[in-house]
Formats: sequence, C-alpha cells, structure tokens
Amino acid sequence: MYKVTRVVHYREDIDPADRAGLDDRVREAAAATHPDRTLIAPTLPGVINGGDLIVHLQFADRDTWLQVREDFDRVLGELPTTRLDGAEYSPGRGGRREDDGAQVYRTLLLRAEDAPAEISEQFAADTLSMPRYVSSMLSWQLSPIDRSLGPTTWTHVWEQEYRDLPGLLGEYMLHPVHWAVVDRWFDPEFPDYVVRTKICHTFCDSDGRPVLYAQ
Amino acid sequence: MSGIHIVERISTRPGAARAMAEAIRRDYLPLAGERGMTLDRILVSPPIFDPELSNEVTVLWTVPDAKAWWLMAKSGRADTRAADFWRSHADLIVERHRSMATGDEQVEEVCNV
Repeated sequence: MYKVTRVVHYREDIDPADRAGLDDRVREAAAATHPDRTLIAPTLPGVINGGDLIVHLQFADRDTWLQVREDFDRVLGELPTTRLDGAEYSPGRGGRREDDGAQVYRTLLLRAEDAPAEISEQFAADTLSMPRYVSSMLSWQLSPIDRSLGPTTWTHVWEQEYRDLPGLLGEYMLHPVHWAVVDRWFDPEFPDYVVRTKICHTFCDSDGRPVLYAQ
Repeated sequence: MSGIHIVERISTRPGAARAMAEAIRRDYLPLAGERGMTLDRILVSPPIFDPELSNEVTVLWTVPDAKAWWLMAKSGRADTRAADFWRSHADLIVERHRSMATGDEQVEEVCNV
C-alpha cells in the first residue's frame, strides 16, 4: 500500500459557501486517480495549522500513485489556497483494536530534526506507546515520509482513528502519557526535543469505514 | 500539593548553584507566572554554597490540572523566552532534566480521563 495526504489551506477570502464546490473539484480529481481508498473531508474546529480540507488517498503501490500524481496535484494547484501541505509514504509501525466504530480521523504532520538513532527510536517508541493508555484510539500508525509538500519539510506522519471527537480532544490530550511522556519531544524547554518546527495537527469526520487498515 | 508538578533537576557547575537559583527567581519566575506556573520551591542539594562544589538544584513548579498544563506548554511554543533562558544560562549547567509528576494519591485520578 502507498498513502498520500494533502492538507488544503484555502485563502481566507474564499466564502465558506464556495468551499463545497472547491471540495467537489478535489473529489473529482481524486476519483480520477482511481485510489483503493479515499477520505476527503473538511477539517473540524480545533485543528492547529491544520487547514480546511483533508485529502487522504491510498494506492496499491508507489508506482500507481506516481502515474497519477502530476494530474492530481495540477488540480490542487489551481485551487485558491495559501498553501498545500502534503506527505507521500508507505505505512509505518502501528496497530488497531478490534473495533471498527471510528468516527474521527486525525493526522499529524511533523518535522523531527536529525538526532542520534537512540533518540529517534525513543521518540517513536514513546509515540507508539500512547494507544496502550488511550482506549479511544482505535487505530494508529507512525510513518516516515518519502516526499513532503509545503513550506515545512515534514519527516513523519502520525495518524490515528478515534471512536469520537471527545476521544481525541479529551482522552488523548489529557492523559499523562501525552503531557508527561510524549510531549517532551515537542517542548523547546526539554534538552532533547526533536520536533522544532510548528506541527500540522488536523482532523476530520471519518466516513464510517476504516482508514488506516482499510484493506 | 495537588496539581501537576513540573520538576526541573539541574546539576550545576561548581560554585554555580546560588547564581542558578537567583536567575530562576529573577528571570524565569516572571515568565512562568505569565504561563500560569506557580513556584512551589527550589531545593539545593547538598545545601551548601561552595565555589568548589557541584549541586543539584531541583525546581518544583505546579499547574492546577492537565488543561492548565497545555496552556502553559502551548504558550512556551509561541514565546521562546523560556527556552532562551536555559540557553543563556548554559554556562551554569552541567546537565538538566525536566519531568512531569503528580502526587501518588493523584495518579489514578489523572489517568482517568
């Protein structure tokens, strides 16, 4: 499987009523790429640097995506945006619970600075420990990025599916595994922090079907 | 004390413990106050100021709860003055470690979110 994410940041002067039509243009362009799985949805209130529309596509392999990438990105490039963030990647380490009731898809694009291997591994291990404590997280995946799009060169994508929005905004954010274990990697006051650039934290309603482990 | 503790453990260079503690009270404390942090205490071990002695300075801050913790953390992302404080006092520090903690009687409560 090969995965593609685009986060669309519309210009502020675009009337929200017009965005639905723009979103439909993206959907049409995505359908023309014939992905195995598509999730395209407006972002929900509370995103940080998270844009207006999440576009997530899955293909059988990287070559399949590369055959359609230029045409798809041409359509996105014609949208009235301030910028596009994006990532192209093979699925990384992750897992899932035996529960397909996820209602919210969340993706975090981040840039981790170069660090000694043991630091990078500890960062990944801490991140992947979260579902052990956050029961509302129904699936999760931390993936290194092959190709980044946007002003920040993203290095990783941390995706999750949640049972509901309180699962993300409540349990995930407030459990001590987040603020006492994982957040140190994002905190400039920690001597070893590795995420030194503003993150792209964005989420949307799911469409009722699994995203991370769709096949 | 209830709430979340932010625990800063600083191994100081010989003779630097007093200057470290004074700098925290003088320069960091006002920034911390703006972020909702309350200074609980500054501990010096061993409790001796000696130009030839390295000390461990432990600074205990508190915030009321996890939501207040996030407000504190996010303001530290946008405002680099706190991170700049540590960089500008690097000459006093051998090693620094920062951790988050609660009282043992609160562990069940903070995990029950």
